Amino acid sequence: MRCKEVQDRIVDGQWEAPVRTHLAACTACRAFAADWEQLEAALRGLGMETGPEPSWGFAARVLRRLEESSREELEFVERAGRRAVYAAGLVAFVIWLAVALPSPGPLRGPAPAELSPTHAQAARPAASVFASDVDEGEDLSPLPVALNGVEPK
Amino acid sequence: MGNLASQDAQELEWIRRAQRGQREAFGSLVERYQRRVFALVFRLTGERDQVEDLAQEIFIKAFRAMGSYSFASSFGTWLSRIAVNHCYDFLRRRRASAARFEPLGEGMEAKGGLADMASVRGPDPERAALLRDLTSKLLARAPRDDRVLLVLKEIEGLSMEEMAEILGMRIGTVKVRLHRARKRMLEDFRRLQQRR
Repeated sequence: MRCKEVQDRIVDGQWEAPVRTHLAACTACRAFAADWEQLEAALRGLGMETGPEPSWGFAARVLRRLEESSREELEFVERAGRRAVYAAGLVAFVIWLAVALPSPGPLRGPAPAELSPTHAQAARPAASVFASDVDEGEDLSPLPVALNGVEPK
Repeated sequence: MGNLASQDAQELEWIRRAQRGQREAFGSLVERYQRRVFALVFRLTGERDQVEDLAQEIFIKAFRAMGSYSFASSFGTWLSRIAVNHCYDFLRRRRASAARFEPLGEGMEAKGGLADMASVRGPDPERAALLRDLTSKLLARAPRDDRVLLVLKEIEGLSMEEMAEILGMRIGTVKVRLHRARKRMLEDFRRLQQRR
């Protein structure tokens, strides 16, 4: 077995016979194994050290915090709900104002003179929709329009 | 962390009541698991002063997530998963906010003689204590993924299956990562010895 393979197995805790045979002959791997054993033992030793213990009433404090946080959440929801109700009320009031108040009309209404016909318009008879109603003297020929770019003669 | 079969009827009752929002029942679960959570938080973070606050936050998270506990694993394993994730976030924030953990560098010798400690050998209890201190410091400086894996396996003594469940990984992935974490830790340990 090569050193790297042996060292990988040592770290994985696989101390089979081929590993032990290699260790008997290899100083470098023996030193590696010794270091690993020291480190492993030290890590396990950390597990035996006592850390901080929960102080008396820890569970009660957790429950109190839970209660406080849920109360805060409830208050937040209530505040948000109240604001939504106020906003909806305001929108409804504005809509009611727009619908219920009498319209002031256009800002600039047409002047009476613009509404009443001029003398010339009043004197001319209204154009009839029927051709037979047209006066004989009236020219009904089509207007000279350029066809395909050629001016009519 | 205990398996599913180890959950007694009383605990199952507390869990079901806590899932219905009964805080008193959850309080009983807190009392049963508080020491375990404290120990895990302390070993993962190494912050004695922060343990109580972190543990409180973990239990509050657990209460809010009680509905998602499906009895697929033991309550202890499920709670450990929440604790590990919370500590993981804490370590990330701490490392991001302040360079408290200097990489292993030339200044190590000046910080309490770590290189001296690394060279101690033998069954002498005093030396064993020095070695533990050194290991604790090495662990504090290890990448947080390595730290979590080493704490769960070497210190908490969890099985690969439990670790896979807590970390949300496949067993094969846990084995590979643990192997690398152990080798990195050992390299640091040996580097200190060689400096002497």
